[in-house]
Amino acid sequence: MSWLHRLRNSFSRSKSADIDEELAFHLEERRREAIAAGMNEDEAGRAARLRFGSPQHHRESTRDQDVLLWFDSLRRDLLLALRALSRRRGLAATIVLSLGVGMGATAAMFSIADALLWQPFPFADPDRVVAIQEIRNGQPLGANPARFRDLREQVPGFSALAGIYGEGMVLTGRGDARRMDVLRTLGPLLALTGVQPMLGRGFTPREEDSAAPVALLTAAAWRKHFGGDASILNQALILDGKPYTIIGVLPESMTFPESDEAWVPVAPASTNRKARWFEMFARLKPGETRASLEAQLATVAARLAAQYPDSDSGITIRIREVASVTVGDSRTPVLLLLGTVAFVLLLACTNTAGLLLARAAEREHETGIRLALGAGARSLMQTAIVESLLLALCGGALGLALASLSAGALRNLLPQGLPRADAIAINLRVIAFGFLLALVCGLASAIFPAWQTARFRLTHLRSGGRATAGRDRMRARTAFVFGQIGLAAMVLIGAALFGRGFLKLIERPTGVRADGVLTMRTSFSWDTQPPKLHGFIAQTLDRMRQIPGVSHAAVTDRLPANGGSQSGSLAVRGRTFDPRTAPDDIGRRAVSEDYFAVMGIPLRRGRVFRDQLPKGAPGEAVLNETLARRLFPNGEDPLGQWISFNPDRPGTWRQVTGIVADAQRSPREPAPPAEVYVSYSTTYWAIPTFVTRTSAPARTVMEGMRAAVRETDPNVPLESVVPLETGIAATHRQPRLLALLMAGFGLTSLALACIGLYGLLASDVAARRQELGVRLALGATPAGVLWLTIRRGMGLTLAGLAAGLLASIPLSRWIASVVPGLVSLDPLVYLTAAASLLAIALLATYLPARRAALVDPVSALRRD
Amino acid sequence: MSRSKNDILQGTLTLLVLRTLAHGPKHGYAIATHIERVSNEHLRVEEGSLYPALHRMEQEGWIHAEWKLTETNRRARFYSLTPTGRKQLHAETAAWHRLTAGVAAVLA
Repeated sequence: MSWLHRLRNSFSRSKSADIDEELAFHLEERRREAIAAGMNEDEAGRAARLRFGSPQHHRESTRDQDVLLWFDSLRRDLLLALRALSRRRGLAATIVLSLGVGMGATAAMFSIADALLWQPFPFADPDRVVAIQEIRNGQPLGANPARFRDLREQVPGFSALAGIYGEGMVLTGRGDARRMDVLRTLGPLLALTGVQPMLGRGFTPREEDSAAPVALLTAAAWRKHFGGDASILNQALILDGKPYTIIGVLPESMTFPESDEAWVPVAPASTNRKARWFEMFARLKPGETRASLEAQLATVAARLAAQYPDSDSGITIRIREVASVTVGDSRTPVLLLLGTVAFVLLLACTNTAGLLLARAAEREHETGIRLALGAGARSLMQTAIVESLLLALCGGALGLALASLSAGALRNLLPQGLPRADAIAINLRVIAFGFLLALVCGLASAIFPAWQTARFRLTHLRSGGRATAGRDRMRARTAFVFGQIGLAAMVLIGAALFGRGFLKLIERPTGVRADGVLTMRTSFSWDTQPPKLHGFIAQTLDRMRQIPGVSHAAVTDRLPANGGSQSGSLAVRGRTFDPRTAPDDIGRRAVSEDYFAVMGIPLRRGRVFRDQLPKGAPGEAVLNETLARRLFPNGEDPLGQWISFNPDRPGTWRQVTGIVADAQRSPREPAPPAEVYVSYSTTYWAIPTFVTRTSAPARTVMEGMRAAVRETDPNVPLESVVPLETGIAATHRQPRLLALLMAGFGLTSLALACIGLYGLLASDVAARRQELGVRLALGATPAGVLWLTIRRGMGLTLAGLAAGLLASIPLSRWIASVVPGLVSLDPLVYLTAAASLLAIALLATYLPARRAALVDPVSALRRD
Repeated sequence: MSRSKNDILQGTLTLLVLRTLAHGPKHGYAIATHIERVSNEHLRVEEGSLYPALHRMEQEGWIHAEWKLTETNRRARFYSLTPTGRKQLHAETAAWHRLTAGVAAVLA
């Protein structure tokens, strides 16, 4: 009722007019009464007004009582602000631009962090779903099927426990053979997510536990590869040569864990407790908390460790956020960027506050008049805040526009295969965040200037008071600029830190000659018979060697410099070997003998192993220099020594025939790992990657490589041929993006801080025009006056810089500890940051200083 | 300007206005003069407090305002008591009696 009444009121005639009329009536009544009491007209009017007091004051305080009237005055203040700002377009544009850049960067970073880390997964009750992570020696482990079964039976707090891993399977029978990204599921994954298929049905518990040949398609794959046709249900999907019945299609929203094409159940049947390869997720039972679950997990972990000391000791089980497992090591950089951008935003707000203070100084005259007319402190503050909010909202709109322009570019710069990166967009959440940000920034930048205005007293209008108010304001602005330079120094040091880290990364020798190397991965199903696989490889290599322009062709299990490697422990004949204590970080690479020639890895000693061994000859192996040094540090000759990955099994011993130079395994590793190379033909790996060294144009050789595979076996899925350099560059994407974004933030902060410095000095010079005139008239040289201003500007810069550098030391130390590949106390980093800040600050100082030096004493003294 | 007359205690003004309006609708000036007259000029209503108070009370829903003509045919804003306002009057009157009784007991 009453709010309806209020609403109607607000749309009827202006409330201010109501109040004016009501007060006028009161005044008039009082005057009439005075006349009735015998006063004459003039006296009565004066007496009434005297008794009545300030109508302006009554009007404002009455209006303040009325919520709706507040809107009325808001509209008035808004118009006032618009009019005032249109007179000061330069200032308004500077504020909107700096807030816009700050908020745009923040909104863009927020959209990334939100999509990757914070958006709830498309689960029913997403808070109840967690990742279960096993940890040994501080290192996260993959999950093991036997332990998976134990946890499922022994932990009462799970309402569902499921495991997942990705597998590339070969799809045939639907056009060309191709690789399909399949999510293998262990246990009730669908029940865990609480999501129903949008078509067909989900897996039954029987199907889940028996690994029935059934498959669920994801919505994206269903649309892209199966035409979105509902009749696909109950058809067969031939994966790795076996038929799987398509029983349903997952809903569009199911983007967990990433962009797979189908789900296929697999039974947790293995009894080997050491093999670890998948991820576990769980839904909590109603009433269960994370703490109670952690306690249950600790109990079970202890019980299993006692039961299976060989395999299960030393393992702790932790609860993690689902996103922290799927996003993995991108989490830290994303949060770091978000933290940095908060600095930039703070800078933008300080900058705005400084500019608004300058604006308050200009407005002093107007403020004085309003105060003299009876305006209250509250309404003066309101005017100032409305103006700032208006600017902030414009800045926020600009920021969102900038963020949405950059969202596409950012998505392309992100490392590929990041889950949920497709979700990065300027959606409602980001817009709401941007709006909130604008309000907060507007208020934050307005608080100090508005408070200054509210403290304004009429006495300030006398020149002595004005000087005091001006001095206060100047002092505040100086403090702001000091803070801005400090913040900018910190962001710049962060940028230099990441830039230097990235340069070091790309300068690090890979140990391979990547130019002229083409790579092509092929996939077989994991139950392909070894003779068939190795026959295919040998024939394909023969065909590839005949492609014009190809000098060498080889096969490898993984690519150097970006492909990682398998690793494990290694036994040396004649030494005791305990698999539990032996270092298990020795890389194992399966390659064919021409691999070293293709990659340009020089042979240091001996010879390369042979792919075709004479009958009865023992296995052969090649060590890299690091491994040779590590295994034989005391001058023993590595050549001729015997090694084995699995010394308990007969026939696994291999003789070392040669030593090759080190090559990088991953750009994240500061030094090449210890590695052993064995012939591909003596191992089993169903995803061989062919590599060729070519001198011909890449395009013709690429086609030749695809043709070689197709001619050997048309049922092998063709994947694109990629230059090795492209693959290596892809691993630089994340550090490059980090360095680029940090550099962008650094430059933005630099610009913002210099705008602040310039603005401060320019007002200072303007305010001291008279004083400078007197100095010049009394014989100061223009150079002396120039120096005066430069000294002030650079003194402030140096102080801010020193504070920023000091604050950066612990901060950069911390950053270097969480981001691999960065050196915290690199003098070059500090030098670069300091030099760039000083250079730009000098420019921002010189311009107002020159104006100070050019003051004409005569005209400066004549004014006023 | 000397202030020999008592300015009304903060908070009591609401009670006085509610009581005044209990006799029937009045405009702001009439409310002020009524309080001054009935209190034998002991109390003095400041315009600067009266109108904000009236608007606040209107927001609270205790009184209702409408534009009407006075006996002298001039437009004025007349305030009248709403049912909620009547309840508020009773509550505040009771509270006032408790307060004065308490203060009197302390002073005695």
